Amino acid sequence: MTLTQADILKLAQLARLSLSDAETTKFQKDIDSILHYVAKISEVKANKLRVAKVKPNTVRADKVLNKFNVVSPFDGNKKVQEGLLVVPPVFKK
Amino acid sequence: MDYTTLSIRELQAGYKSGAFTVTDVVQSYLERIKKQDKDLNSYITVWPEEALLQAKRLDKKIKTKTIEGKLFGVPVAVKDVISTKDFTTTAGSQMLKNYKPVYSATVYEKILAEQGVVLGKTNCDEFAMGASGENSSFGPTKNPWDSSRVSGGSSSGSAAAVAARLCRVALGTDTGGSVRQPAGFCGVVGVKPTYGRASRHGIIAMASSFDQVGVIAPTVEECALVTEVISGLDPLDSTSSSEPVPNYTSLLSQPAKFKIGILKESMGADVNPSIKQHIINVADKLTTAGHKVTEVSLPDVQYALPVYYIITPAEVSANLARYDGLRFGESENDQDLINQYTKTRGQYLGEEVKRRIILGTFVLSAGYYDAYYRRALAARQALKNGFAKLFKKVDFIIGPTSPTIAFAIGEKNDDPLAMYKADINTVPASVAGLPAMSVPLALVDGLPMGLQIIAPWFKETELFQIGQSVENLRGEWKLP
Repeated sequence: MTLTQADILKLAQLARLSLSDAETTKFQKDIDSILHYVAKISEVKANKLRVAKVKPNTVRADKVLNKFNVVSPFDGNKKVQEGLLVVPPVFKK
Repeated sequence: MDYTTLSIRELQAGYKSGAFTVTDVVQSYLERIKKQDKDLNSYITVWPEEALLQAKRLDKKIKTKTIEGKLFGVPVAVKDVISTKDFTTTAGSQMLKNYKPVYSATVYEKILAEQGVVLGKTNCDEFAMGASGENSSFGPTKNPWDSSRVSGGSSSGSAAAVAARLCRVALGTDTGGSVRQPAGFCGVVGVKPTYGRASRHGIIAMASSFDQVGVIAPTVEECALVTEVISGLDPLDSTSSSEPVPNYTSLLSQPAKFKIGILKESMGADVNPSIKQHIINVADKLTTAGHKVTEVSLPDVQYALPVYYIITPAEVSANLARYDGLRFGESENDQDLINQYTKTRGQYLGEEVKRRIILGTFVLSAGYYDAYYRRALAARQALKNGFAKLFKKVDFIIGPTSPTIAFAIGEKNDDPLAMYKADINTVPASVAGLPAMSVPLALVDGLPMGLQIIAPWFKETELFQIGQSVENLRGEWKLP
């Protein structure tokens, strides 16, 4: 598997990351060498490739704990209006 | 008087006898931090006022003879990925440089409940991603044995602070070796309990199926005590275990003879020959002491690092999606929502974090999910099965914590793969969720090296017992 710089930019866009040109060049080289290394798992024998059932999580009773005495879950420097975050519009006019 | 050389036992005996107060001890530590930490950079935030206030509260208890907590008056440092309500918790990142959590991690609350005195928050690689401490956006932590060397990572500050006597014990987190590897590099004991043994509630998540809180201290006994305090089921962490927590410290003195396997694959050609020799020497000493030591092999450990660098970036890419600049952390303003996300994350996340997010996004993407992520999950299971089989033959698996001693600052900065390989011996236990510990064994070229001991799931009691036996066989160990 070889990734191009265009692939890195596409992945960065999917992950909502802006990258500088230098970062794009470096990550292309780095991630390519990492993928080459991790491709070693293709050698694992097929008879070993079974994912065991996951043990269910220990879920607590659905009761209010009154543990959190939180006025606002948001940082003080966030723009909050009537308890809701103010963000740029999602839909454009 | 310098109180920073005293063990937890000695501190608590001194408090009880009235030889000194908690305030005396805390002041002694704070002065040492002031003098030494400018260069070492083991703390991101120091809490002098809060620590002295807690010390005064505890001193009142000495007067009324109500010394109760297991960690009464013990100076503790806490890795800065562990949430502390109303106190800045940065995770070593510019993204969270001003972030004050609205709740505390369970492990931190347990330290306070047992009357420990928290001195501050320790430096770490950004979001716990790194093996050298150099990825912290607050600068690298230097190794107390040689300031031109790294302290290891990601719990760089916790290990260095214990080694430099800037706290007595410290909490770290271990995802692929982040407690054991820096403990090995800094010549202190570091333990990662079984996955699920201690609550992850309030820990800033890196890779949720690997992350585990661990303890760093000068001795195995002190590690056992703090592990006892932080362990146990937590209703706020659905992956925490309901296995009862034994009284590790009281069981330490029950000597047993164990079957120990030296893991052949951890003693390969890449391991420093002097480190290998010290492992062989300690194996001889263990044999003389009545334990049975043999060589064991688990060829599948060769897949542990590839598995780790597929699954953890996948989990990182999901866990760090929350840093969008909207709810908490820093943000860059833009009239367009998507631009605001990308600009914020591009500006405030560091290089290693971005690299892993991109890698994780790739291995989870359509077309590659089966070849990488799903296959890695299966290989992880195969490795767990391999360990389970091996633990039918032996009680512990030993080997070097790291293939090398602490390397020079900057040495591996341009080669992320070389940096990842620094964790090659610690990652297998993390992939399998096993408890493991690093005990300082010897000096190689003037720098410490650690022996890693891996135990079966939830066998921390026995892990501490064998760890203490190794300490006894090694003899006196002096911090730098």
